[in-house]
Amino acid sequence: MKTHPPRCRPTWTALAFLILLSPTALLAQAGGPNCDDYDPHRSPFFGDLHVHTSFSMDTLYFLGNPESDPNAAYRFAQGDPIGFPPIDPAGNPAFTVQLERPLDFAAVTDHAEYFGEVRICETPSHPGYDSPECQVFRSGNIPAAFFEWFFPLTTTDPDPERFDMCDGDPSCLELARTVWEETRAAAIAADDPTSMCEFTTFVGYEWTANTATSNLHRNVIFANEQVPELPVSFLDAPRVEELHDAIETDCIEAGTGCDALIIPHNPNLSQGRMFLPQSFDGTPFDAADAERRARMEPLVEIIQHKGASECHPAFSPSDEECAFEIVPLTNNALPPGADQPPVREGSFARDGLKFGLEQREDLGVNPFEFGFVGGTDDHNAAAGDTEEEGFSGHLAAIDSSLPGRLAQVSANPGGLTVIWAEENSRESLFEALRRREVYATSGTRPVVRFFGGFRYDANMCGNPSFAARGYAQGVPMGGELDAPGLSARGQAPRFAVSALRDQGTLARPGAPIERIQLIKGWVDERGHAQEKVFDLVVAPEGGSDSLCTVWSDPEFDPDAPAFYYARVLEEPSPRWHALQCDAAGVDCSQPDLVPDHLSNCCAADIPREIQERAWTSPIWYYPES
Amino acid sequence: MPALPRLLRAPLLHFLALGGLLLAAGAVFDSGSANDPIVVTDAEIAVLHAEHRRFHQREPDARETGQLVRAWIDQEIKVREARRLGLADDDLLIRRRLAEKMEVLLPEDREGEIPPSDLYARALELGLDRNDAIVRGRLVQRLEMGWAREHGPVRASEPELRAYLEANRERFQRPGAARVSHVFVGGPGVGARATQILSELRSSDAGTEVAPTAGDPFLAGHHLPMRSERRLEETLGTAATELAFAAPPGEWVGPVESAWGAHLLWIHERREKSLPAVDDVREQLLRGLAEERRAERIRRATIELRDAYPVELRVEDPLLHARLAHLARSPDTPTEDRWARLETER
Repeated sequence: MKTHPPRCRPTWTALAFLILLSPTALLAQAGGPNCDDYDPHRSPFFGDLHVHTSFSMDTLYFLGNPESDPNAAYRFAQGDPIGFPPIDPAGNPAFTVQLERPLDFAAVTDHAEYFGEVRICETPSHPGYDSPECQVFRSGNIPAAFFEWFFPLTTTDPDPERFDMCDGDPSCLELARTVWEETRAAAIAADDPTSMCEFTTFVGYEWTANTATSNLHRNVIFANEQVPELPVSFLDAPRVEELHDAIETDCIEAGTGCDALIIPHNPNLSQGRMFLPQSFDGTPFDAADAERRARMEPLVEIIQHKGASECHPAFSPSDEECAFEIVPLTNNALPPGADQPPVREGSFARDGLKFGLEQREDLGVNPFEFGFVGGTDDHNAAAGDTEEEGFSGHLAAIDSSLPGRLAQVSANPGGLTVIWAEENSRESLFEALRRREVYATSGTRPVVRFFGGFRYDANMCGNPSFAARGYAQGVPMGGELDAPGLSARGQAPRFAVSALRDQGTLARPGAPIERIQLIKGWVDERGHAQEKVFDLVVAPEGGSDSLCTVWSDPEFDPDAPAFYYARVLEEPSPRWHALQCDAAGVDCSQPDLVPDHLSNCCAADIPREIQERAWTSPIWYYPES
Repeated sequence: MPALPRLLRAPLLHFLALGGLLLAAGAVFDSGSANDPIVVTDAEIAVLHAEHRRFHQREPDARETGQLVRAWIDQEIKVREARRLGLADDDLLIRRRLAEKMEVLLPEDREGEIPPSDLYARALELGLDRNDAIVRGRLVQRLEMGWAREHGPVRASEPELRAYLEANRERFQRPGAARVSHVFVGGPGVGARATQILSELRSSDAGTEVAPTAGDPFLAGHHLPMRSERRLEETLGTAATELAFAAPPGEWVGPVESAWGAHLLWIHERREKSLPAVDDVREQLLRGLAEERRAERIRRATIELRDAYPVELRVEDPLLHARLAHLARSPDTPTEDRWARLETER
């Protein structure tokens, strides 16, 4: 029996009916179930689903601001300033940072592994306060703290141990309950309960698995306030399968109204393990495993502070855009300066999508049918802080100074998640995440639509009801192409992409759009996945404020399963390090005069200009459908 | 300190008097710091400058220097007060911290032999607690916790909640919202085209049903639902949003420009920004008030404490000296006016 991820067929029918019924249906909108600005054709909402606060152990042992808790993160996301480390002995932050444009939604995702342990290390009356681990934690010796606290997360032990202090009274798990409740309370307090729907929060956390030094980290995002009593961490469930089991048992099937989805990040640091279609013990996926993987993990974070994970030049040599924000790291458990192992296939989203098609040939199910999101992975509770010029780091005191940032010059300010949803409510946004109608940006805010179908007009871009037609006659990003139908049999599918440049702000206008590309992956007759990049439209010199195009696949093979996703590039703009080094007066034409701690300003392999971009979630084509 | 006649409150006189007293009493008191004035010299200021430079890559300006010195003085005052209240004596963290420091000084063959309580006592004798950042931070924390403690749940009257809501309008304000339709013109010559379309629309008395076809396609569509100011800005840009909240509804107005071209607007309905009722945001008001009261208690207690711990300034630059002298006695950081006055007084 063929299985597919849940489809929203009834909604499309209702939508078409609504449109056909009345031309004024779009007018005089009385608002939807929750929000005044309900729009049945959906509008874009910008947010960050990957944020760490002072509840995360590394925020604190990186000497972050102890006052930057989840409440502070949600206030920052809405436009309030937040204090950045280092914090002086009087408790004052070194400086404050503020978003120029607030976010529409955010999720705080602190590391669940050490919720209780961190609390113990902060509570002098607890017997565990003076344990060796807590002393190291508070010592300010970052390499020591990293080794003491992060290394246990690389274990392959099927039953990882916690620190001895955890058996004290109260125990780690009892304290973790308190921390989790505070996390949930912060999300509830910040979520806009009125029909203005200005801001939405999601309760979430990070499952921080670094098994055998491979980064297999995943963020768990809950649909609503009905969450399990405790978040399941790597120390409780060190295998992905166990995490999935726990989420199913404690949440999805618990009958409490709980729902959740899981978003992996940094496959670029997974040493090829993120998209292996097998369980930890090496058993290959069967159809049930594949179906569960696709259902529980419908999205992947492909851009964040620790690099881009779309594709790699080594495996996509003809796509020069794959070099964008690649970090020269493959193993994040090694100390700085150590030799890094070579990059492995299976560490990038495009690999995963291709493997997924191949797996579907064998199993009948695609385990890696995922859309794209962007995030920051910030550890200052500074949700959505992606601006290049003012970039103040994402690792607390490690990079809150320019020299600190330059020590990791290949890192970037991170990206954003953009959701196409009817309204800014949890229900609407979460459903959109589930159906993958989302795209990732590298930090800016271009607006991008992507539709695929067999019945689109070639001149759809000239039609004022572009979006309405897009939905009525095909599927949006994240969807699966409908069957061509008798009349369209033998024809190639058409894809419509429309992009508006990020308008930016008065101080910093956005860059115009330079081009729209389409990346296609398919399985050839021998069962091997292939890929190709198409330039759909290139703007004239200087870029365009908007670009729109309809493209038909010239190489379409109706018997070949395929995925298609759009990549929209902006005109080049200065990278953060170029802006900040120039402001610091660094002149790379005189290298001898550049002080040591700023020498990475002149790093030859990092471009001074980048093309910010958006990646839409793919649309899939399967022959039998 | 009891209220003193105006002359006797003059800072300089105060300092001299106390200094003189101490000189005379020097023989009687120990080198215990509790009763010495807090001394600010150029050396302390240089250290504060260096720290600032390290993180901000530039020197602090005069006002920032004042704030840094104020913060440093306040911390010293609180550390002394905490010691005076005996908060250091029973604190597990401080005892352990100092015992650890002493262990470092022990010869290796005597490690583990001496009980921590003896080590702690010896550390105190040696004054190892004087400049320890962890001990100081801990003392300030305990002192402030004592001041801030509120017994029982937060209580506030209706007038208090209303006043807090008023005082924090911006945070609680429900933004204004508008429902508009628009004609969009992209590409070259937008201004002229838009103006032409506007006159055509007006002369033909056209309503908003023509919006999608009178100009060019627009990604977000031509009939927008009720949107807040902020969301409208995201969709149509700043100029269009300003117009949406200024122009009369029920007619074509514009053109205004956005990042993508020019727009003509028709405003269907508009809702001005408003403050929610106390009941709608009661939880947040209570939380905010509690936080405010906590901070206020600490602030007031700090100010009161300043009278008990005199400050002695030994700073070369006379203007900086004057500024800091003013700071040392004023209940708050000087405002811009006062700084400006000090400048002209120079």
